[in-house]
Amino acid sequence: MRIAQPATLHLERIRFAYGATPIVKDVSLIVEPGELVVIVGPSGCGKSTLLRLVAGLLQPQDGTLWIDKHDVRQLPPERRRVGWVPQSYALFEHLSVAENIAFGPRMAGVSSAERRTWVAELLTLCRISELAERSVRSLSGGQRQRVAIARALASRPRVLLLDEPLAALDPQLRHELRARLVELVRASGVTTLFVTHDQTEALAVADRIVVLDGGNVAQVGTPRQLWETPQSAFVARFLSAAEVITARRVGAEEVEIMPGLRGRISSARATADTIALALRPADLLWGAAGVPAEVVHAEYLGGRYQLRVAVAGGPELPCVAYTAVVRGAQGTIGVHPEARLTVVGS
Amino acid sequence: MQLMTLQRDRRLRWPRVEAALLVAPLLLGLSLLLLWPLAILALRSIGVGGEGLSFATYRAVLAEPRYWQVLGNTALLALASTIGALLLCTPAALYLEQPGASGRRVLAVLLTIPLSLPGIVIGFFVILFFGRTGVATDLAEAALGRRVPPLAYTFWGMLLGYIYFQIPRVVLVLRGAAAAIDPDTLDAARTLGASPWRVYTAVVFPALRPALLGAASLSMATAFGAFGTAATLSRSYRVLPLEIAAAFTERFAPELAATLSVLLALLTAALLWSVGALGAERRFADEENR
Amino acid sequence: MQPPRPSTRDPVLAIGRACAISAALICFLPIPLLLAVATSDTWQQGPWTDGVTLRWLGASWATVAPFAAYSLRLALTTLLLNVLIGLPAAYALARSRFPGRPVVRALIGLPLAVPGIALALALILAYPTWRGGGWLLVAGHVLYTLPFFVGALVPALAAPDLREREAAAATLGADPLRRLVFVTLPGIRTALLAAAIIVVTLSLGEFNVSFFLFAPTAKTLPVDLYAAYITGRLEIAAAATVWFILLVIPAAAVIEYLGGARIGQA
Repeated sequence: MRIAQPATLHLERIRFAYGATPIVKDVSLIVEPGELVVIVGPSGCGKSTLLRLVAGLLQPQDGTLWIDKHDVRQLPPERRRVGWVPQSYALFEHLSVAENIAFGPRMAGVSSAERRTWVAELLTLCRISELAERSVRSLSGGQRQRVAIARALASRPRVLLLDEPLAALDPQLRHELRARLVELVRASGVTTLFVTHDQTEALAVADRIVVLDGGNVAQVGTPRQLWETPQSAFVARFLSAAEVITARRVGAEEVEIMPGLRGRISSARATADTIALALRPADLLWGAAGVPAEVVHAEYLGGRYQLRVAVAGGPELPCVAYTAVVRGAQGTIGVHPEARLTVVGS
Repeated sequence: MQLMTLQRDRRLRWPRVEAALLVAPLLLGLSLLLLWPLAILALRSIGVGGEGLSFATYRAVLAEPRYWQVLGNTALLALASTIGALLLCTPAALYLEQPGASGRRVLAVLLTIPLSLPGIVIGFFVILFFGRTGVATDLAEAALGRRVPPLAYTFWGMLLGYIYFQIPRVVLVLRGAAAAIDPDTLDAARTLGASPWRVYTAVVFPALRPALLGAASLSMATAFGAFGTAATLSRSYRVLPLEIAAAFTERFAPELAATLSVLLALLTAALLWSVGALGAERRFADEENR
Repeated sequence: MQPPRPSTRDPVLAIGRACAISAALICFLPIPLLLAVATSDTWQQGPWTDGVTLRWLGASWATVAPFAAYSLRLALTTLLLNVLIGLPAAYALARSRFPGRPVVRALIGLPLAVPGIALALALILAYPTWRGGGWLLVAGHVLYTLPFFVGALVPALAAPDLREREAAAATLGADPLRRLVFVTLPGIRTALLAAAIIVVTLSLGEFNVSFFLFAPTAKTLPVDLYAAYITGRLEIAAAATVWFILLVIPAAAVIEYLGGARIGQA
């Protein structure tokens, strides 16, 4: 079911400061119609502010904003046709669920008969039909989230903005609700900007990811691109808890991290003699031939152990073990035979 | 088993006994000083302890057109001052609850001045401005070139006094309610197509409705029972509390005073109870009666 | 960090600002006027035509002082009685689900629903012999202030983190008395102070009940003020009012500082 003609969203050199503090420094981005783009980054990097700028709730000091080739900077929020779902969902407590959803059409002057049919369709789409006459106060977090999204979709927005839609929910439910949320957004076909600080969520959900670092765009790309070819240490660390280290090139496709520890990389990427690598736990294997190491920290993740190990003359490295290990255990680590080490940088 | 039951009983019983001990002085005091006197008041109003059980005073009061006039006066004053206070204070409260300039703190403090002043002092203030030698009266006389009757002792003077003492109460209640509004809901309403004005009519005022009605009925009840301001200002515009005072201190008719008091007390209690009725938040299909 | 809101290009807020400023002015302007009248020689001829004079303030202080003293004593007595009967009751209300709890709550709120003049009359009719000597006056003041006192304390006593601290103290070996002295009472310190100041301010400014219950030896400042308004010269009345406000303002300021409250009467 298509909600609206999906639109293109184009941000060009957006800059925003709160008083003297710059929050968004220089953000440019193009979102294709129907795309689900995730904006990810640590707290305080300007993600929520960016959504408010697109919605028209804040005015940028600089830069332009197009929706479907129309410059919308002069348009007030009520004319931009943008759906915005804040982190707290901001449901109207004096209205029932159905009335909340009908709010947008009501503002647009849609007749009450049409509103009823429209609301009913959205209730079905979001699978909350049984909640129609309920009060908002009695809903669970997941239900509120769906009502908030239904409400935003009811105005037939050209762009949908979701500010950490899963952050307020129970961790156990988050996984399932995430899948339902994505299903819903895809079914509606609307162009979506999704903000989160959770990198796993970003990787799981996005068509493309925008990594923000202190108000600037660190990298834009598909999840695989960001994982396999991070352009900076920041992106590598943020997306995958990687340890970024330098290694010496010893062949077309081989690098040496330290004597005894060598691994393969994709040659297309590296030309220099010293290379920055993003080492992830799965890249190094406990018990493989390589260098001696001692376990500093071990966490059981179910089926495997994620370790931090100390090696002589080097930094602490992440590592994976498939046998039981404890803190203080001595052994060796080596690069996993199947691993392709990730190179950092363009 | 028996030992455990005994122990459990003891634990359950103790809090009740303890609570009863703690509350006993208060119950005793209120019974002696509140319940008993109110009962006596009600009984005197129907003649017990005086001339004998009868509803004569009630009949006399309700039949007398003058008392209906006085009741109407009181109601009009209460209603007009409440509406005036709400019209002035609702936008003010919304403004004060916006995060922002420090000037708002000063304004908020100034608005609490009337809270600690008794009605008589407020009446005196009205006299200072609008009495025979009042500032406003003098200015009007200077501007118009003739004598101007003082406003202070009329309905309008009393109205100003009543509004004065209601301002801080209304502002306090409304600010509390305005502070409880989640600012994100206002932003969400904008993105859903509501112009700034419609955000107020569709989101803010409905959210404030319980507080508005609560403040209104509290104001009206207080205005009905107000004595000090009226005692200072009233000349020909009589209100109910003044009639009660006159019945007791001038006419030495305790039954009449008691009757009028009972009627007034019932009226204010009814006004306050309407808070629960009108001002309650909307109940939805799924919510139990609270 | 909260993102900033757009500035007041909102029509209602512009109106709101105008209303807030007007209301604040209305509330404030009588004060300077009062001071002007109290310090002018002959107000009818205009403010300060003969210069600023303190003679009215001096003259009225002589009359007003004994009543101010009585009002203070009465306020403190009222406070003491409030603590004696109100504090234990507040504790019970906050902590225990005893049967009849809603009745007690309603009973405590009852004096607020009854107009002051009716309360006074009821007391006089019930205890006519006690009228002289001022005991009914004390009773009236206690009745009128009790709901505010208890109302300010119950939320503080019911606060979950206070009870958690008491529980923690118990696990560390403190018996009920020590818990009361070292955890509970310090924990409600602010609320207790606010409640005390509310009671004192209400009592100092109380008129509606006091007007009918006072006796020659038991006369409060507001009652004396009323006499000044009705019979006295404008400047003297203004001077007496200045003394009254000076008496009441410190308490009121502390209440506002502690967060404000619904107090006062018409």
